[in-house]
Amino acid sequence: MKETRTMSKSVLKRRSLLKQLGAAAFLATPVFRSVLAEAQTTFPLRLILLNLPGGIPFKGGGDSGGLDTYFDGIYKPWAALQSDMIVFDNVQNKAGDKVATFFELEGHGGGCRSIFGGAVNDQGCKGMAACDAGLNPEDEAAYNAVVYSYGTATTIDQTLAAAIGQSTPFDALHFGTLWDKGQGGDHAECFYKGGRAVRPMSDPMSAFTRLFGNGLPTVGSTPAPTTTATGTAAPDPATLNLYQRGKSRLDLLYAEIADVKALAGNAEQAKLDQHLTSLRELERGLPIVPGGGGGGGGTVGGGGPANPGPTCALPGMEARVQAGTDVRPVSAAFNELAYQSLNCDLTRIVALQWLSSGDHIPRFQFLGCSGDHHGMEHSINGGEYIKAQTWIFEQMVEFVNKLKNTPEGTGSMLDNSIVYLASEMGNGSHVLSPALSTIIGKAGGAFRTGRRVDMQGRNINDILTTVVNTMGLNAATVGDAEFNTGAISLS
Amino acid sequence: MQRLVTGSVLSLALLSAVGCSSEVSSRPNGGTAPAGPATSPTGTGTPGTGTGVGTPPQAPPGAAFGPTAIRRLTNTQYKNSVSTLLKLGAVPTDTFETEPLSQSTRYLDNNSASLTVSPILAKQYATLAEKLVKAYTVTPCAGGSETACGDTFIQTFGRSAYRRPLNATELQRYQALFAGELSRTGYTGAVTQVIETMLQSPNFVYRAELGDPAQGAKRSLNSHEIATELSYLLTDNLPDEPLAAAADAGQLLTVEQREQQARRLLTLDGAKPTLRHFLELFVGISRLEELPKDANVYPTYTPELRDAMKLETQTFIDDVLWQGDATFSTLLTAPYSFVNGPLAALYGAPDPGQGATLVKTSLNATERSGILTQPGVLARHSKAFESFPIGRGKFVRIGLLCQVLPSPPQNLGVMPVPEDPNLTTRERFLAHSASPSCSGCHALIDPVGFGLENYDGIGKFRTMENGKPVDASGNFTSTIDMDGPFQGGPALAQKLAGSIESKQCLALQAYRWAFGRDESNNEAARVDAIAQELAAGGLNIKELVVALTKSDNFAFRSFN
Repeated sequence: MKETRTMSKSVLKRRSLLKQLGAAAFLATPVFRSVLAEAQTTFPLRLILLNLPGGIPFKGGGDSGGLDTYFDGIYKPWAALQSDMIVFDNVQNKAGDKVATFFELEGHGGGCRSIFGGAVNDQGCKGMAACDAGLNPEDEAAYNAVVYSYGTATTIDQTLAAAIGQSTPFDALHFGTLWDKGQGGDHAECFYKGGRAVRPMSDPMSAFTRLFGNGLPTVGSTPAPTTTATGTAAPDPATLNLYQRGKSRLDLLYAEIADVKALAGNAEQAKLDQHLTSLRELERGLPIVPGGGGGGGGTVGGGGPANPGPTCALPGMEARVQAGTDVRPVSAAFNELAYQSLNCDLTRIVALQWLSSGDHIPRFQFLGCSGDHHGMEHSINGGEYIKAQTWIFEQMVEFVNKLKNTPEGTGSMLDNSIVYLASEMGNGSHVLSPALSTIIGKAGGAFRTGRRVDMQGRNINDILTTVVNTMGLNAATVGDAEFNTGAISLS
Repeated sequence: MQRLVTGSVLSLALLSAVGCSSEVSSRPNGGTAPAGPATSPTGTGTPGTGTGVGTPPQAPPGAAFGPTAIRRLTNTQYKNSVSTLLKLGAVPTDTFETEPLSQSTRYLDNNSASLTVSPILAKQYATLAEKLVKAYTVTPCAGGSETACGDTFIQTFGRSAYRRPLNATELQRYQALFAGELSRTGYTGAVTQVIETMLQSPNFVYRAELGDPAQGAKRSLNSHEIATELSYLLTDNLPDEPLAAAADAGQLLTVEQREQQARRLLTLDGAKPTLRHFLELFVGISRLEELPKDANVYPTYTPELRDAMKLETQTFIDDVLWQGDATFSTLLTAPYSFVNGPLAALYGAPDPGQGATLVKTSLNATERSGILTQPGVLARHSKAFESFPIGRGKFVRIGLLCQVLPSPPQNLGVMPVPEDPNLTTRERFLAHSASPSCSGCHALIDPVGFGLENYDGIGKFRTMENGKPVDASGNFTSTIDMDGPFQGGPALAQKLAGSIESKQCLALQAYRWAFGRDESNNEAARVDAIAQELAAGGLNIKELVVALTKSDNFAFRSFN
C-alpha cells in the first residue's frame, strides 16, 4: 500500500501567507464616547447585529452579479423600512474568502468567523506555540490549532462590549434561534473574544432567567429598604446575608480561577477568562444592599436599568419563552427578549442569529419546505431557499419594528440604534463576496438613511470601522489592515 | 490505491485542480503513517519510586504528547458527579446548555476546546447548587467545636469534589468562608455554603490534566489526575472509593496499575451508559430526539417510533458490549436487534406482543446486519422526506472511515434534485451529480450511499420505489481495503466489519473522545497500532478503551 501525503504544498502556501499577515489591526487607541452621538441624543446608542444564515440570491437569479438586495426582490419584507435603511452594494468580504480557504475550505464556518471581525489571523492565536512556530505539516494537532483559529479575531460586538459595555448590567447579549442544533456547533460560531467563541444563548427560558430572573423590571423602582428611626435606609438583614453569602463565595471562586490560570497553558487562558466573566455576571446578579455595595443595583437581572424605557415590562413573557425545536416560537421569544434587553437598558449591544448555516434538520415544513436549511442554501435559486430566507427576514423586520414602534424623544429607539444586517455567505453556494451588508437605523442622527451606497469593491471592514466609530471608538481599522481603506461617511 | 486527502490541508487551488480524485489519504495521518517517537501504544515510562503519592514517572525522551489541559465536565459528568457527591440517589434533570458537536473532533460532544463556562451555564450551575443545598440535610456537629466539624467537612467533601486533597491555601480559603457564614447564619448555613461553592469551583467543574510544573515542558500526570481521567473516561463520574484510595496511595503510576483499575471500572454500572454514549455519537444518533420527518411522507414516524428507534440502538449496543463479545465486528454484523410493536411493523417482523417493551428478535439477514442497518441510524442520515444517498455516503466516509471530504468549492451553484415520481432516488441523484463540477467528489460519496437504497428515509426496507425496482448496488473506491462493489446494506456492513480502515476509525474516534481533542500525527499512528493489535479479534471495544488507558498518551502531557 502506497502512502502519499499531499499536504505540504498547500501547508507551505498557508504558512508563508500566515507570516505575511499582521496582527488584527484594531488600534489600541484610547476609547472615548462618540462626540457625534452624544451631541445629538440623550438616549443611549445601541448596536444590534442581525445574522442571516446562508446569504441571498444574486439579482436576476443568476450565478454572478450583485446580490438581490432590492425591495421588489428578496428584500421585500424590508420594503416598509427602506427609509430607515442604508443598503450597501458591491461589498467584498476578502477576509472571509481567505478564512474559508484556510478553514477546511469551509465557506459557512469561515464566513461566519470573519463577517463581524474582518480578520484572518487572530488574537487568540498569539502566543500559542503553534502560531509562533508557524504551521508544522508534520504535527496535525499543532496544525489544526492554527487552522481552527483562523478568523477567530475579536469581533466588533466584543470590542465594543469591552469599551462601552460596563454602563449596563450586560456588556453584550447574543441570542441564537436553534443555532446550535442540527450539527451547528462551531460551524456557526460567529462571535469571538480572545480566540474563543462567544456562543449565543439558544434556550429562551434560560435566557429569560439570566436576564430577568431576579424579577421583572418596573420603572423607577428600587428594592424596599428598611427605614430606621432617623430616616436613613439601612440594609435589610436577610438581604445583607444573601449578598454577603454570594459575594464571599464568588470571591473565593475568583481566587481559585486565578490559581488555575497560573498553572494552565496558554490555550486555556481564554477559557478561564470566559469563566471569570461569567462569574462576574453572577456577581452583578447579587441583591443590592443600600449603602452596602451590592451587585449591580436595581431589580433587572440584578443590575439596575441605566435608562429603562417607558415600556420596559414583560407581561406574560415567561409563558412565551418556552424552549423547543420549532423555529417559530423560539424566534419570537428571542425577538422579544432581545428587544426588552435593549428597552430595559440591560445592554446596548445585541446579536441575533437564526439557525446554523450547517443545519441539516428540516425546520420549515410550515412554509411547505421539505428540505433542511443547509440544503436550501446550496440550492441557491430554489423556491424553498427563497421561502426560508424571506421568513427569516420577516422575523428580523418584526424585531426592528419593535424598535421603530418604541418612542424615544422625538423619534424612536430605532433612530438611536445601528442595526447591522450581515450574513456569513454572499449567496448560499459558498460565495462570500459580494457580501450582504445593510444598516437599519439612524444612529442617533449620525447616519442618513433611505439610500443605497455603492462600496465599489471595498471590504466589510470599512463598514465595521464606521459602525464602531459611530458607537464611540476611535478606530482606524477593524480586522486585518490589508482589508481596510478607512471608515466611510454615512452622514 | 488512492486515498482521500484531509480537507484541512487541501487548498482551494489544489481542489479545483484535482478535485476529489487526487492522490488521497484516508485519515489525517494516513492509515499506516510512519511510526511515531519511540513510545509504545501500551505504555512505557519509568514508574515512580518516591513516597507519599508516588513519584511520577519521567516522560520518555523524544516523545511528543498531547497538551496539558483543563477539561470542563460534560453535562452528564457534572450531574453524575453532583449526584454522587450529595448522595442524591438520582441524577438531576435540570436543563443545562447543550454541548456543541465540535467539527474539529468530528461531531463528538466533549471537545475540550469547545466546553467552556458561559454566563448561561454559570447561572445554571449556580441555580442547581442553590436548589440542591436547600434540600440538603446537614449532619449536625456532634462533639467538638463547629469550626472543627467544619474543617473535617471541608476536607472530606473537598477531597471528593476536587478529586484530590485540598492544598493549604484552598483549605484556608474555605475555612474563612465557613467561618464567615457560621457567624452570620450558623452551622447549617456554613456547611451548605461550602457545598454550594465547591459545586461551582473551577476545581470541580474542570478536570485538570496539568501534571507537575516542576517537570518542565513534558510532564507525567499525577495519580489523582490519572484517577480522574480513568473514572470520567469509563464511568462519566467521580473516582469511586477504590480508585480514590489508589490515587491517594500513588498506585496509578504504572501501566499495570492503570490497566487493573480500568478493567475494574468496566465492571461498574457507570461504564454501560458511558460507552453506550460514545457509540451513539459514533453512529450519530445521540440527538435523535431532535430529528423531524415529513409527516406526509412518513406518517408512521411518530415520537413513539422515533424514541423506540433510539432505544433499540441503545439496547443493541448494551447487548453487544455486555452480553456479547463486545466487538466492533459484531456491532456491524449481529443478525438480531430489539423490537417492539411499532418497530416490528417497520421491520415487517411479527409483533413480539409486549407493547412498548423491546424484545430481542432475529432479523432477516438479507435485509439487516447490525447497527448500520438499524432504522434510527438510517433515519438520522436521511432527509426528512427521502433516503438521501449523499448523506449516507458521507456518513460512511467521514463517520465510519474517518476520511475527510472537502466542502464544495466556492461559487458552486447547486440546483435541488428535482422530484420525479417516475424515477427512483438513485436515478434522480445520478443525474444530479453527473456534472463535471460535482462528479469528482460525488463519485466517492454517492456509490456508497446507493448501497443503502433498500432503506427509505426512516429505515424501512424496500425493494420497489415509484413503481421501479430499487438498485442497491454500491461501490467503494479510495479505501485501504474495501475497494470494489457490494450489494445492499448487509454486504456494506460486512465489508466494514472486515476492514482495518473502519477499525482504525473507531479507534481514532475513541481516542478523540477519550482525550477530548483532535489527534496529532504521532498519536494517530499509535492509535492505528492499537487498532491493528485488536483487529484480529474483531476489535473488542472494551479492550480498545483499556488499551487507550495503557498508552503513554494517557499518562503524559506537553505543557504549552
